[in-house]
Amino acid sequence: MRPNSPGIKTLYKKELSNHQLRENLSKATLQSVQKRNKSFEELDFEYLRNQARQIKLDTLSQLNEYLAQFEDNATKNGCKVFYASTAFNANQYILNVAKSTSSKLIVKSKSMVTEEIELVDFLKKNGIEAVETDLGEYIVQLAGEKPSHITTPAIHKSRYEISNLFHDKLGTENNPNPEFLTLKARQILREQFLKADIGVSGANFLIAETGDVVVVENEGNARLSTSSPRVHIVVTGIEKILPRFSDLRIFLRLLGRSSTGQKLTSYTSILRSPRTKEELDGPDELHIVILDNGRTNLLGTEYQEILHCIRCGACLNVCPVYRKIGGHAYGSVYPGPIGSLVTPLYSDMEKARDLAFASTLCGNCTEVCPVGINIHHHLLTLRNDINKRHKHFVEKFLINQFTMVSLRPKLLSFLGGTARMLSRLQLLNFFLKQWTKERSVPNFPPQSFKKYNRE
Amino acid sequence: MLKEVSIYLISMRVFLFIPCYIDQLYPSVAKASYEVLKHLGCQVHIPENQTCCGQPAFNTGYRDEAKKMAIHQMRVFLGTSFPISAKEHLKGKKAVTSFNLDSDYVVGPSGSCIAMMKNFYPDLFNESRSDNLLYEIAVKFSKRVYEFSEFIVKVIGLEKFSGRLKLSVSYHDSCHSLRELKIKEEPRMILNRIRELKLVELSHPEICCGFGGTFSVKFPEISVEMGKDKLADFYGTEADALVSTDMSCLMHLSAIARHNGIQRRFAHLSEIMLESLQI
Repeated sequence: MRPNSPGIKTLYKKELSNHQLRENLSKATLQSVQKRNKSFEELDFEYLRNQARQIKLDTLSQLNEYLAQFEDNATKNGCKVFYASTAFNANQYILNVAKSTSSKLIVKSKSMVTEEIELVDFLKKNGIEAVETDLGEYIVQLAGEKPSHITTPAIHKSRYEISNLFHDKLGTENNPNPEFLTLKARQILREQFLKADIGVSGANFLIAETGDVVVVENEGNARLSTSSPRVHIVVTGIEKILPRFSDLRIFLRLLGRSSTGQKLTSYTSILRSPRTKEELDGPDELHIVILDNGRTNLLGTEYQEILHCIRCGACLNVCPVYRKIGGHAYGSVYPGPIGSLVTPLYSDMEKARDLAFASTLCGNCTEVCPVGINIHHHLLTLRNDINKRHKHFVEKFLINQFTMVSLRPKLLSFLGGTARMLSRLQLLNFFLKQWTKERSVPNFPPQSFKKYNRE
Repeated sequence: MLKEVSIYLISMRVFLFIPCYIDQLYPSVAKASYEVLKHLGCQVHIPENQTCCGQPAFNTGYRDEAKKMAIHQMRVFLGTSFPISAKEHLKGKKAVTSFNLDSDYVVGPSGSCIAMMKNFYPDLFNESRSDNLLYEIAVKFSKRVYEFSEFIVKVIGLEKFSGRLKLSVSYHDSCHSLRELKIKEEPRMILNRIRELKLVELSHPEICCGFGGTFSVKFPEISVEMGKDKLADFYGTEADALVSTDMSCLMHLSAIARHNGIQRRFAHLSEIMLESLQI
């Protein structure tokens, strides 16, 4: 996350004015929400999310112990565990692995953490090519863009736009049939899988008691990335740890349903070690890079539960603001409601000045969060915190005046009367510029209720 | 006479909270709430010194200012029940009302302002932990605070209400009513109890209208775009009126409609109820 990149205030208008984008987003997100709701009908969502929440609370209260346990077990299994405190450390470690194994080509399956550390750009600068193999990520990479959603990175594109993109970049015939497009991508990516020296993946869960890495996906590309190349590197965040293998029965049920409305994703890979003597497939080396990059800032603060997030993307799908502007408008790696918390709190508090306010506080995000993060109330807290750091003088002045007036109800009534007069003289519009561009000024009735009631 | 006195003695005492913007912009909603509650047998008081609940400051991230308004509000409503031990908050005006914390109620026709008083007042004083007394007051106070439709269904009892009105309406769930106060069925139960009234559900009654208070001026274009979706949903039902428990949503929506030259009816639940009583 670059500190000085443009924020939501400079980006949202352009995205909002893109009619096609709004249509794509609306269609895709409403469909996801519908599927999600249906998939939870057969389960007690509140029970499951409370279980998940308890497990996460316990995990974070002893995070060091669980991480140490994971490292112990993974090392015993033959993996190499590396803790990266910053994005730079993580990138450097991965580059070193690539150099020491004389690797030139990397196949990548989906991972938001690699977006966070901008791994692909970093490798490119160092002469190593990394190809995205998740279909959505592949599309986005081909277009020279960034993912606009945590789990469905190309959600902003229609199949017609993708067909045009393939035509331009790959020379395929213009055919918007999703099957045709998928087959084309598959054909190209197969070759890359076979040629690649390294596979990079994320992790959905790290199991402390066994040292396992759990990866869920739908396309099989993660399984190929983690088993075909000589070297496999897992890049993930410290908060992905779960104490017990049996905890998966809670989290897998919640994750698939919350993100895509699936009972279980098509593939759930549980990776324990590099290839053993008895095995035919699998990498010779398995590295696990566990990233902090600002996450521990949240430990012990009122924001700690934000680390419960399992990156399902449900809060994006239900968010009416996200639905209008899409992920790119947020100007940060993690978009949507959870992104508006994670971005400032991990690394760039300045961004809270706008991100914390880019919400109607409708609370739909909190309602669907499978690990019980009170997302919209945290946004409220963040508003208060950022105002303390950054004095917005005009706003502060107005709020102070309003408070002063409100504490004197008679003065409030008097000013109400003044506004009434101004509205009759058509002078109110001047004070309400932001309101009146596409909205009329409310009609003032002849008198207030209090006045009526007194008479 | 005796009957009237006995009704007076056994009737519920309600202290009506009129949100500041309803007082100024929608006095008819305040009037309707007052009349309906009275009709249902409540003894309704309207504390004169009540003011803004503090939500604009709170939602814009100014908790200290919101606290001042919260203290003022609780003092005004609780009157002599506001503990004398909270001395520093009692200076100045004398308490006028006598509020019984075991039997009296604060009721207001706004999910959003009520959510502020019911849920966030305790929160405001909980976080600091420095002022346990105010926290205790806020908790006690919040237990007596009810949103209008919830009060009618859960406290008064729906059987006391019967109305008749030939009208078709759609109901918009305000986010604060729905998700902060968990009010979903109550307004629908009330509407369904009105004979000849037809409730036509929106396709997406639970999606936010886009108002969001401070959001509506910080991101006006997104706010309006969301409002247009809600309006399209409403026009699609071809109902005569869009009804809600929050005038703030309806203020935003009607402002967009009028800007685009469309005249449709937007009404608070209490207004529909009063009309159906035909008194």
